[in-house]
Amino acid sequence: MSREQTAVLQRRFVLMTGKGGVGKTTVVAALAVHAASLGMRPLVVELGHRESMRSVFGVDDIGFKPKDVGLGVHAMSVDVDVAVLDYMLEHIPSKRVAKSIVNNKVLERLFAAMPAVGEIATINKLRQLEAEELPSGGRRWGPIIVDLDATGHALMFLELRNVIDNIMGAGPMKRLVEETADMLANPETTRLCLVATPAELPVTETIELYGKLQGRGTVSFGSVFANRVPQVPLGAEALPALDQLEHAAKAVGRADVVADVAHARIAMQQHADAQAQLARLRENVDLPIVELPLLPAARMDGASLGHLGALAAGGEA
Amino acid sequence: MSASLDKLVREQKLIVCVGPGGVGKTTVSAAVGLAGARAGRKTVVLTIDPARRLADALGLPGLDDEIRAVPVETLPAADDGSPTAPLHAAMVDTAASYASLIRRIAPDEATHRRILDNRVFQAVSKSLARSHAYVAMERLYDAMQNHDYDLVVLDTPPARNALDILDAPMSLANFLDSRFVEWFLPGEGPKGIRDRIIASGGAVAKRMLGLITGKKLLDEIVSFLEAFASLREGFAARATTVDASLREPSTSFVLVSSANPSSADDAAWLRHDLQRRKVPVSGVIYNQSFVSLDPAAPMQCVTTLRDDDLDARLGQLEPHLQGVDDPKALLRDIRAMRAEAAAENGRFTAIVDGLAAELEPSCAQIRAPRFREEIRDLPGLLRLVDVLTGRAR
Repeated sequence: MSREQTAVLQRRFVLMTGKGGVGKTTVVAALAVHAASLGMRPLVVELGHRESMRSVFGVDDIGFKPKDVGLGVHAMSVDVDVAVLDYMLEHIPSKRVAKSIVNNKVLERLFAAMPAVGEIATINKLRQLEAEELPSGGRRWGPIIVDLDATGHALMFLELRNVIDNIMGAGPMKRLVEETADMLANPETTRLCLVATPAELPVTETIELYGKLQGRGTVSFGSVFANRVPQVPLGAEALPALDQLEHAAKAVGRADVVADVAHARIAMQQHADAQAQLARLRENVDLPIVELPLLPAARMDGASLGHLGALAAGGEA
Repeated sequence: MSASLDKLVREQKLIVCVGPGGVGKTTVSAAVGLAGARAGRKTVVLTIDPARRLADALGLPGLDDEIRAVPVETLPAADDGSPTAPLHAAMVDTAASYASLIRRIAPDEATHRRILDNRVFQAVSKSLARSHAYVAMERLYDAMQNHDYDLVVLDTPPARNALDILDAPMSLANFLDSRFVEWFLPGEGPKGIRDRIIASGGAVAKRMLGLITGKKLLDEIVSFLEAFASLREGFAARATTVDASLREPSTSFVLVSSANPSSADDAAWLRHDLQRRKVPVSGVIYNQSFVSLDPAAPMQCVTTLRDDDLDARLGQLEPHLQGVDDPKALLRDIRAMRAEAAAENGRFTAIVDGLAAELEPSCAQIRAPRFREEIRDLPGLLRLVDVLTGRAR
């Protein structure tokens, strides 16, 4: 894979998706911190009202406008309801009518329930952000890292063109969707990265998502981030020595060493299981797979985020 | 503080499991259900997660929208010899559940067909993340009204925000009952000034929407609303019942979290949200929140380990070892691995303590270990049941 094909951070949009609990938020934050350290102007956009970046960066409030969260990173959260109202204000010619519609709680609910409207409003916002310019010229944001909520959400988002083809006639919405779909499909502009952990379910979901999207032309893939890959200092060749050690420890009554051996065996087995899942991922997904280590369960500071981000981005080169 | 869900599964009629994604919530829900059945109560588990592994864990060939009997008779009898009550499970399928809901409440076959054929309905029922919460509530209604279960366990979609689950029953009913629908649908009977104002506002709104969405979608929306309007009463009645049942004293909310920082953050949000809405959190399960490090006491969370007598260990053990290359390095490495695992247990404990703050004293809190093997069958699930009910050693 050439550098040109894989340098994900050079794209306008980096879409990130993965099953809940695989540490996607951390990888998103790490990539953003790393991009900032390279002098880029990363913007993290979270879809839905999750606002996970709040706790990663330790800031109070992240809303519909890009906010400086430190370490050179901006973040915002696109809530569907807010995006829809924003879209209405922009597209309805009469401001008076627009306001009355916007202030109408009932309409708000309708748009929340209507198919595709929330997604369309969301992509409208993403397009605006993409087009924003600095006073000195040049794009205001790059890359825009979009944290897609869950794998199902990613599909809906990318299949929007097909969804609306069935239900929507010509109009500004349809045009917006068409243009955005082209942008998402362009490998120069957009890459979809997948985050998984080397465990059965996340790997299966990643393989399935890859299978569903591959060849459909709706999006180009970047990398797969295999997050939380466990490391052990012992290889399988140590197993016979562990057997001996366990025997000896039992003979002399060192229960603590027996426990050490038992734990070491479990850790080695888990390492082997993780490697087997990685092998399955490699076999079924024809993308660069970037391994990220299992880190201690504690909040990460800026330096460790940057380090993880460099690992993630470096793995792509 | 109780360290067991035993009381809940013996006494409650509905247990709702909420929590962020990726913490094993669905497996915990299944275990809560099995705990209920083990306590002799006829139980159903409704899940939303299409995980095949869960079907395996329940000993079912597949798990779909249909409620199936879990083969609990294959399990050994409970400690006190009492038989396990029937356990059922179903995986809620959004589109299928919507369809059967419409079938149940449509006044006639023509309305039923009209709604099912409407493309807006098709898109809504298939694609909307939010509708999962609603449909979960629908299935709940059905399970509670039409079957004689002693206990219903509801697994919910991963949500950072408990709002979705609690608001789902009323929000669709409110929507259908709203002024908005009047905007779009011709009213009945003679029109007063108010109606005319609404009608003219509706005309403007319709025109504006048409401009944005295109006429085709607008027409579909209007016919969707026309068809749906006839379901108003049915919706309202069901929503009121479900909403009330969620607030019954016989209903408990159980929060499931893991001990990784971001899941714990999400779980803390949920806890806060539930408390803000005066919904008591009856139990918190910290799933996979420690690694068993002492074979003599596997349920104990060891957080520190002595690592200072390497030479003594070597002196004692070396005479018994033959052909081990570097026994000192091996002894050091394996102790370091276990000591690091203990330190990680300590970090998990700090996260659990953070989450435990602000819980009511009556709230049951359970720390479940990370099992060596993933739960793949009913006996595996039973081990988690033992942890949840305080029976594990």
